[in-house]
Amino acid sequence: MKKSIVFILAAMMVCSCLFAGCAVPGNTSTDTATQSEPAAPEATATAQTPAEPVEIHYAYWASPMDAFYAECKTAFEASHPNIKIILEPTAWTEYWTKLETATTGGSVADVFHMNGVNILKYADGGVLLPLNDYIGNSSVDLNNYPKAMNDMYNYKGTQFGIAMDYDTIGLWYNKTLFDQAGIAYPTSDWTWDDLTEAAAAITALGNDIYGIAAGFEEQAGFYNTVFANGGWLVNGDTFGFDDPNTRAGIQCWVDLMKAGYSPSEASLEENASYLQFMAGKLGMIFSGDWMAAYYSSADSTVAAVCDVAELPLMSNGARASVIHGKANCISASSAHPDEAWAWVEYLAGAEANKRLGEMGIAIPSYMEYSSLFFASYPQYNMSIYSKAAEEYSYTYPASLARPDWMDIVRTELQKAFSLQVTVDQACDAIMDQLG
Amino acid sequence: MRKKGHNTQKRKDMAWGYGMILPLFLGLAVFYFYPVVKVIYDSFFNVGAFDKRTFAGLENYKNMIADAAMWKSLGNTFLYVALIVPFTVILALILAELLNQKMKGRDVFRVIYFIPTVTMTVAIAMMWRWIFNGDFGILNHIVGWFGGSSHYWLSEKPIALICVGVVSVWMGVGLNMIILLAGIQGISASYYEAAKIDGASPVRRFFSITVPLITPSLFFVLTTTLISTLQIFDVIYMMIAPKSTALVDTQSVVMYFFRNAFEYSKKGYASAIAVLLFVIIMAITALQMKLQRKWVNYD
Amino acid sequence: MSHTMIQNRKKKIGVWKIVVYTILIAGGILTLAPFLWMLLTSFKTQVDAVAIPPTILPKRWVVDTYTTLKDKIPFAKMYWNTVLTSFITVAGQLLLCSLAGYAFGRIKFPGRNFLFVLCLSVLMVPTSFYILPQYIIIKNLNLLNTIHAIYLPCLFSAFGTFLMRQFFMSLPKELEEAARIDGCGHGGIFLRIMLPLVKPGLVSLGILTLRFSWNNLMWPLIVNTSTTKMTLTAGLSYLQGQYLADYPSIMAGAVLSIIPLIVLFAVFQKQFIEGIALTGIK
Repeated sequence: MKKSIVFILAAMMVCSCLFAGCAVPGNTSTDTATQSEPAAPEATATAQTPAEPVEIHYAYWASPMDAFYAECKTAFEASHPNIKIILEPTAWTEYWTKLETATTGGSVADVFHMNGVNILKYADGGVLLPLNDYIGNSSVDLNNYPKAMNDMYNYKGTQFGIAMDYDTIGLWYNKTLFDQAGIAYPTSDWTWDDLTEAAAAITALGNDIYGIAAGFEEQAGFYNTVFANGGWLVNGDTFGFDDPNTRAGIQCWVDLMKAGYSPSEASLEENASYLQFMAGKLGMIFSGDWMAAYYSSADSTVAAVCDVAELPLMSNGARASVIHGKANCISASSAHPDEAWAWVEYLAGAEANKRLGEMGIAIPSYMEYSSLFFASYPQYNMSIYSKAAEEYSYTYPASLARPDWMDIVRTELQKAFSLQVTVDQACDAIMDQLG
Repeated sequence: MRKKGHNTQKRKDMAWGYGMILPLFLGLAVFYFYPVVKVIYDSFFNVGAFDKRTFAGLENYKNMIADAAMWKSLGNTFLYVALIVPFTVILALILAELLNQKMKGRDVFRVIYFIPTVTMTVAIAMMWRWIFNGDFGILNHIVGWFGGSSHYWLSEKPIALICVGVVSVWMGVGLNMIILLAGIQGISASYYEAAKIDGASPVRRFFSITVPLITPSLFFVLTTTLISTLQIFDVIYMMIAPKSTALVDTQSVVMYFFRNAFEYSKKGYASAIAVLLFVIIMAITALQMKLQRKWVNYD
Repeated sequence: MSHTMIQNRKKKIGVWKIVVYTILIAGGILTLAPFLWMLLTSFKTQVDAVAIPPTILPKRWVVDTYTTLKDKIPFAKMYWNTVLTSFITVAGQLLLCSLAGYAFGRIKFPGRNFLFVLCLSVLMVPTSFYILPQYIIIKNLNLLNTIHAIYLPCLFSAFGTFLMRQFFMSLPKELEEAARIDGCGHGGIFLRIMLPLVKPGLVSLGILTLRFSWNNLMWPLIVNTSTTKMTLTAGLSYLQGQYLADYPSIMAGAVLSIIPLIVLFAVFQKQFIEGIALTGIK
């Protein structure tokens, strides 16, 4: 038995060496094959029978937006009889594994969804179609979308995607708890000190009620305060955790934790902050606009008593909101880039954005129509979200060189948020690994 | 003459042997052996996103040896093995024996114990996370009755790993019970009848008849449980949120591998980890195969 | 005296029975809990399903989840795909694994141990590593986005081969020798004598394969793109969402999907247990 194992290992080594000879050209040939292979049968088909519509495959992660895409498909196909859109949803948890596998395997959809975390990898990998020329020759005007969103999908001067929707962050609060504590509701003049005072007063109500959720959160947490404080996180392959302004933007959260105004880090990990807020156990919470759908639902105990305000001003008098949103990108290996562009152009246009806003599913990235989404929630002060996007939004940070940076930051900072180490110690540890 | 007959029998055996494994091996070669070879091949390259590669020689292996996080995850994996394998096998064995007895409601119990193997993992995870929940969980209530203190079971260092182990055992028992129950069915009823006449206690019957006679199934259960526990991934993923503080202390080597391959686009490095795991599992399996001669009773 | 002995014995058996039932019932409750959880969650609203603190019973009972499921995903089609692919996988594995298991367990041929370990080596690489190579193979076979893509790699199981080998190996030699004297070759021994005797093994492999293929999540999602070519478990994951999952719908779909499995098992377990008791191998 021992012999046979040695034998297998040896055989595999030999095989792998043999493969070394053939697999490398094999791989490069799949790269080139990807561009011609899926195209070949379809191209000949269209050449012979021009009436046959071109199929454009559209991949996206399943979300409440599915109904919107179905409507767009119908409308688009009516005005473009030569193009047929094939909708291909995938579960969010498997979407990225699938997209990468399909891209590597050379059979990815023509048009697909992209987010801020992954855009650099795909743009740098050369698997996306540059859109500059298409945008230049079309009705699309990038000035209609938040600048931070355009920047997110722009890599080294080339535009690779056009945003579909965007999310910014606001401060949600529970009016009942504010009333009980006898304090005024948050306003646009609020500072971080006001927030701390309110958190203290609400925590003092006791009964397992806390002022605010101050656990480790990225988009709906310390990213915002770091930017507002004049700090920074990622710039190319350097990281900003040595900058005192960055550290101050993290410290302000940990101070709330230390003062006991928030459920512990462990509590927030096991029972998500938004669920605690919906259960009426939290006075305040930083949340994205997408949470409005859940906060307002029939089973949320705070539906009638919560509202949203702008994020507080930091001690330097500035505020900031991270902005993020998904975009449509075209595969560089698409056999029908022109038809794919037509679909992207349609989704970026006025008609689609207007419909998206009216359906009340997400904030349309076309700023003129953003307010349509807010009309779905007249009871809340939702316009702060578009104000944030237009006036003080910061692009969601991402790193190409260190795709593991977020995991490192989370691992170390969670120790600070659980009060095991100081913010300085955590930031030093981060820089040790990323420096 | 006799020799000739022996030879034709040998040739017949060969033809039947190769012929019967051929269909399986054709499929394995296409879908499995090629990927295994590719893993070994890839481990000598830097493979980035979308299969962009440069030759790396032994660099991945050198980095791996110096990677504390990898060793930590390998250590966690062995802790899981020590925790999960014995409990899963022993509980499955006891359960199989109990469900083999003649008694009222046996069929109902068999169905009940089968149900978790088909229950959706999302539901299993939700329920267990609720049991262990630090703020509202039942476990803290129960511990409270006995005067114990509350814990965030899934967030605290050594406990989180044990909790994952418990859930993993819970999930594995039903499955292995089915295999062992099938093994017990192969034991002739006459053995048990003879034992009954001798007045042997149920416990003695279990140790002197059941256990020795189902060693082939037991060997299978032990080997496959060991291999699958060395590759533990799903349970951790569903119990410990990828954003949990306890991640580093509960992460298994396959989980670390997965993050390198799919999240950090370091497929070459991930391949080196996979090769290391492959060698470890191969060595352990070889050892088991050797040891089985001492305790597995095939005839 | 003998009377008291029998009474003692009866008492002992009584105590033993109580112990057994206690263990089985306690274990049964723990075992059934997630299934009940699943059932109850399917009657909750989306927000109620994740409410804090968690509630056992729904605040208000919602039955709509079951009726609206077919509007959210092509439920019937996915169900059919699951049944079809599972059936093919089980049939294929039973055939291929029992053939190879017999060869590895009962026939002596050169290189047998080597080939067996080679077969087992398939189990030693993390399954996620097979995704990309298998995807490319399926693509080269021109089978992307087809039902065949879902079951094809699953037909060949090292696990099943190992299991069947163990069952074949545990059959006594005398059986084979007797058959040989009667003039049986390997084909006859395999088909007429051994295969009926490893029925428990076949049934348990069938159950395990069915369960695996019923719940296979990642592979169908990777290899197929259209919702009508998806299996049910994979299809239910569409409802998972990016932020807050539609748990009631997922659970409702899961409840509907596993009921036939439970029924099947309830019917089969009786069958395979009695079929064996008659043959009595050892």
